[in-house]
Amino acid sequence: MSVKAAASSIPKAVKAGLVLSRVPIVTPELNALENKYYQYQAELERRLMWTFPSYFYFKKGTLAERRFQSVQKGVISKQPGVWFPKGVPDVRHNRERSQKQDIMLPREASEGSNKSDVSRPIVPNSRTTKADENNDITSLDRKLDRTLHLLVKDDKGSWVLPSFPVDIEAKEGKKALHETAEVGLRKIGGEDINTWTVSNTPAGVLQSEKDLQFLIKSHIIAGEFKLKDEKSIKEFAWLTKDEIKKAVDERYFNSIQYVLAEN
Amino acid sequence: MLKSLIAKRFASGGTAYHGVNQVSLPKRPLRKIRLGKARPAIYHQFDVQVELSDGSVITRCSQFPKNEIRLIQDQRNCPLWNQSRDGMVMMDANSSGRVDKFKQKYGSVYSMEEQAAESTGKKETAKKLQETEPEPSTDDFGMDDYLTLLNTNAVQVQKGGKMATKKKDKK
Amino acid sequence: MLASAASRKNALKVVQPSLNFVRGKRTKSKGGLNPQAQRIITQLSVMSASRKQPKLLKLSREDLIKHDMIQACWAQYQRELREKRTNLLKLQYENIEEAMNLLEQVDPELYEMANAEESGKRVPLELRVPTQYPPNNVWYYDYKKKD
Repeated sequence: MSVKAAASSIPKAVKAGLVLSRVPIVTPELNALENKYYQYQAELERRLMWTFPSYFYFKKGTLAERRFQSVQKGVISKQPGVWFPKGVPDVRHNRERSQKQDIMLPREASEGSNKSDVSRPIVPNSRTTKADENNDITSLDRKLDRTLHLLVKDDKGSWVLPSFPVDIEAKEGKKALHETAEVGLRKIGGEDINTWTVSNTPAGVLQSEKDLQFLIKSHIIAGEFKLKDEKSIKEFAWLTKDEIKKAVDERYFNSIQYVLAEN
Repeated sequence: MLKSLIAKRFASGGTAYHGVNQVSLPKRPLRKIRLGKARPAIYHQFDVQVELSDGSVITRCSQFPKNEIRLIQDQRNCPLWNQSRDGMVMMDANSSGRVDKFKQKYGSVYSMEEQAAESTGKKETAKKLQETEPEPSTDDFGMDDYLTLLNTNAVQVQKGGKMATKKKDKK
Repeated sequence: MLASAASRKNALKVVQPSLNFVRGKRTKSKGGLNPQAQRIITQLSVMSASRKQPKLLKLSREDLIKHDMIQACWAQYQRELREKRTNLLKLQYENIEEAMNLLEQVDPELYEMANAEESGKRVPLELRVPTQYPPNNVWYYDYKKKD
């Protein structure tokens, strides 16, 4: 209905907008409820797990078996004439059957932190990076658990999605929307960028008095957005959906919010 | 033997197994599992931290008793999965492992190629004496090259110190 | 007693016994099975599930109510998430539909191109599944354009 109404006053100019996003690199942060629930389920499962068949993995009389046995905490077995406050132990295969089995594994890794050593212990990298600390919004290695979207500051000084005019008057060799967007991105951001356009079909439309802006979704795979066209664009930023909400005015955000990724 | 025996025993419902050892187990009455009393098999699993080749870490569960696994060759450094990156090289899975360390230390003793290379190096003196002889090249050290050793004036190569030789009994 | 002992002593002197009782390998087990079968049964029983299974959980009434409450809470949380997601998908679809309808009116040629068949299009291999901790080099900046 609204489309029909809009059709009567269709503006002339058509633009191809680009929603360029960087997909998350690490898994999302769990909230308190998820954290607690997963812990509860993991504990339940550990309680119901079968006894670890150590005789299957460690051959009797080998060095590996001795190393494994030396780090195990023993179980309390039943003794005649002794009172057990937590119930009479029911030990089978070296496991107290009414509790979860805690298995210690001997440390195999060498202690040295030599980078070339394959058996060094695993030390995971931090989920927050230097760009997070400096709040460097032009960097791609920030907010690793969220999707980042490319926004540029136009000549009026407001943050918008990058958009490129489509030549609809061209008689032949008309470029499709996604092609216009791809070429335009390389014009403002340099050639050394690898992107993947999700579809030829626009994911949304922004209507204003002067023009229509069709939004094309795309992902950045490698490379960097380096600002080339200094005249029309002052700045650029990689922002999450929450940050975009703060940066742009409300009407603009409402019109693009369903195109942006939740996290 | 045991594995096949179990399979047989379960498959045939306790009938005797006539294998190599002719062991026949007595029939047992099957235990009835009442409704709602069946319990799923929840095998014991460990949480394993897996480090991919580019340093990212994932956690997964495994029945194998190991806490940490480090992958050396995976999709993170395979050229096929990283078409936009330059300079991706296929890593040798054994590089800087125990086997590789062993090879570095004792490679000349046990590996075929290096032995051949070394022997040709030591043969330099012998080469001068018999230049007409076709010398085995290190690149294609095939079966034919052993035939040159069977020639009349082939010189045995002495490597290392003198070896203890078994002395013939003098009778 | 004494007499018998004395007589045995005499007998020993005479006969020189060669009987020597040594405990050897047991050839018959208790259950009347041959030892090989007995060994197999022992091994089977070691591997059997019933010996490895822990005790059943016996929740008290209060614990059971707690557990049910936790599960109900989780189910509701999941339902809310699911509804949110479905709603979002619906809105996204409506956005696409609106855009395409407008495009058809503005420029039919662009509409044809935007509506073109894209079968065989694949997600690039380099879009990775998120990991728990980031890699050493988080982003590959040194990409050079390839032809």
